[in-house]
Amino acid sequence: MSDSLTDVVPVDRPTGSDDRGTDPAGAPEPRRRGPVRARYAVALAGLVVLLALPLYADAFWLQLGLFAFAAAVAALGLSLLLGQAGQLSLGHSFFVAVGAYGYTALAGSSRTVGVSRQAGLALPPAVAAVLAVLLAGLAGLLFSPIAARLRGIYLGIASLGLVFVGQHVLFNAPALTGGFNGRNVPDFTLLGFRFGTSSEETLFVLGVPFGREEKLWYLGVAVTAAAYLCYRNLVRGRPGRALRAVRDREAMAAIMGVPVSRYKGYAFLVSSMYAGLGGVLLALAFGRIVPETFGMALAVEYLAMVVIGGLGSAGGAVLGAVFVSCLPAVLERYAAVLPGLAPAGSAGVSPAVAAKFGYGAAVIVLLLVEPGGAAAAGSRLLAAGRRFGCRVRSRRIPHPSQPAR
Amino acid sequence: MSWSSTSPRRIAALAALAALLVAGGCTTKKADTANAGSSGKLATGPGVTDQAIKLGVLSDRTGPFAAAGKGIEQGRLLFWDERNAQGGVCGRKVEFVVKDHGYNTQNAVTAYAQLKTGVLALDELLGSPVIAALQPNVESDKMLTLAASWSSSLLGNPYVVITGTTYDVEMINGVDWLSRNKGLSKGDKIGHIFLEGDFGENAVAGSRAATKELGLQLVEHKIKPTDADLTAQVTALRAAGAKAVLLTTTPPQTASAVAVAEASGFDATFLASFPSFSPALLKSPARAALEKKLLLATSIAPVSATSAGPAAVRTALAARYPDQPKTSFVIYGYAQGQIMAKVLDAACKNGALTRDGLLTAFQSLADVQTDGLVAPLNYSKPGQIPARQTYILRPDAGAVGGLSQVQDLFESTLATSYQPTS
Repeated sequence: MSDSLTDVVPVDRPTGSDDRGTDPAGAPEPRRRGPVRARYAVALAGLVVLLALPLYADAFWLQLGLFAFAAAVAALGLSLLLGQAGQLSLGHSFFVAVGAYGYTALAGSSRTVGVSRQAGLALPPAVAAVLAVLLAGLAGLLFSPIAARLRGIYLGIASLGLVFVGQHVLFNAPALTGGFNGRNVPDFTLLGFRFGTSSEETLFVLGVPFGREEKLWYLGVAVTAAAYLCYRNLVRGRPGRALRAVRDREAMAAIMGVPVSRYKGYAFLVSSMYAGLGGVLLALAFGRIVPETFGMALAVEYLAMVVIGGLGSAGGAVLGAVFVSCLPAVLERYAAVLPGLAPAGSAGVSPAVAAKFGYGAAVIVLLLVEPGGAAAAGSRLLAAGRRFGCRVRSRRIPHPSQPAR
Repeated sequence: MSWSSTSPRRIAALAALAALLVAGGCTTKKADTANAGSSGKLATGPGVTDQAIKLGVLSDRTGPFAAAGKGIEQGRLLFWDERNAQGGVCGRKVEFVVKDHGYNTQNAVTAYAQLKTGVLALDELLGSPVIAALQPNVESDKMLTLAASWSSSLLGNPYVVITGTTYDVEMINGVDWLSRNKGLSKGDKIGHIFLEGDFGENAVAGSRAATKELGLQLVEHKIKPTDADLTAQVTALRAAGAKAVLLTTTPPQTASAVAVAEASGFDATFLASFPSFSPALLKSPARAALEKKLLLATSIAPVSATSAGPAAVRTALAARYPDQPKTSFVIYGYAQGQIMAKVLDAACKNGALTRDGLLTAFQSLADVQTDGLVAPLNYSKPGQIPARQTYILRPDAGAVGGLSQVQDLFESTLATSYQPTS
């Protein structure tokens, strides 16, 4: 049993292109300059597109983007836990809920809604967000002794218990969570700037009115980018190597001087802090959070994101998050154009049902064609692009040392 | 294979070009004032053109309430297709933008963001967690919303329209009817098995008020939606000597409770909230027990009712969807159409087909009659329960829609004076 997870997580699989260069098995050092520069170009272009998008896209796309950012941050945490440390968690939605409700309760003010009183500390939102992340980290730390003793599917099921406990608490602690009807999420403010829509004044940027979605979009971009860079630094350094050693063979890691159970605890701590941060973003994206959101289905969705993205890879987690959180809504939006669907109200396959089928098929096809997930597909595309670039260049400047491919 | 063709200079040039495009204001998303215009004397809001009024529908087509969503859609189409053929409202056809959320709050919030700028109001919002999640949005967007829920907790939001009585009033009228017709006397015990969450808590508030007023004792059992077998609760109520049992449960749980009681010879009458029964149960082995023991308290007429409204819907339904199940949700959807038509008519008369105009028009409706589809509704007092009359129905496999009428619309004196605590 002890090796079942390492079977699931192949030891020397290509985990995107992130480990390359620092891993002993990665590409040799002299070849790094070119691809790195190419990647900077791609990243810069992507960033410009992301920053310009709120000027063009309507509320649907922006709202979808907010959910994708929140999902990406949380998925990075799970990717670290599952892909790097080799620990299966089905309880990720619990830590996301701790972050979301932690932020809401800390930043919200005490007030009476109907007959029930809702408690809140009315802290500055930025402080509340930081504390909510720490709170989620604390929850992860409390769970880590269990994580250190269980492995593979056993750990998965144990963490599943967190989701059930979490659901029960969320429904039955109305003073903190608002119970079934949920709780309004206070707008985020940073240095006096409010990430929300106010009726008194509207912010115009280049003639475009900036409401809640547009403002939160930039917050989402910034937080996701920071979370992504943190992840890469962590994974490329000493802690990342130690985690992978623990994942691949615990005895080997221990012999090489890695404190195994402490690193397993670290992994849970950092992963649940990522989940908490994702939870804060998710709460802001929703505007009102209800307990039913943070159930089993969400936990499975996060698992799907990291598997679809490609285990352990930062870019893969982000791509997987975008895939899982956006594709169903996008398909639903455009499903009506498909021919041969049943008209409203009658029997047969409606556009909404067709969209669900399409989503399921897309997941299966992606994993069949590219078992390494979106990250592997991405690096294959990048390699193809690089070959294309070479060909173009070699046609223009023939170089004897580098034959054209 | 280095990639020096992407020189820093080239990257800088590309970035500058992109920045120029952005800053140059090539945006297609300028502040849109064309939507909120006016034509002639009529002020119009989002989704209103000279030819059409667009309304949003945020429903469940792929989740656990897909059947309910489909029934409501059939009712809506029956009403509006006829109405549009007669010229629509305010000289405009009423059209619908339908979105599925599959009972998932995230999908619902996204779909709402897509809908909100293009529709005048929401003609249907289905699913309790979805309604809870979207309440602040509905309020900040001033979006009049016909919610497919009957919870008193929605009364605080002026933009949410409840079609019928609330769950607590259903139970008050139900307990009152049981006490008069099933020979309950002071001190007798009544059981109430209810779901945790908004639906159950709201219903139990009503049964608490009614039993207190009538001098009955209430024995409460709270359950979870995932509980499949209610043997423990029914046995406990039987041991306690309950004369009647109220059910605010899921339909499978209702079947379980009634079947267990029948098998163990527990002869109490069971009375359920409207969403706790589904005609599909009459195809299950519990059918005989359900027909014998169960009653329903609801403000929505059964498809088999004899009054003019339900009869007309029944005929139209049989003609247009002959092979589809005929549920009370069709009646409900049709009634929603009538209410929305009245709101739009009133707004048109006031010369304001805007979001604000719709709220004003809605709050001016003091007496909405739907030919017996649902109890008469009064929306002129914000924050108050719009209707306090209910039918008493019983499951009947022989009737269209699986329900037949036991007691016509009535309002108990308790229900008249009742005020929800929230």
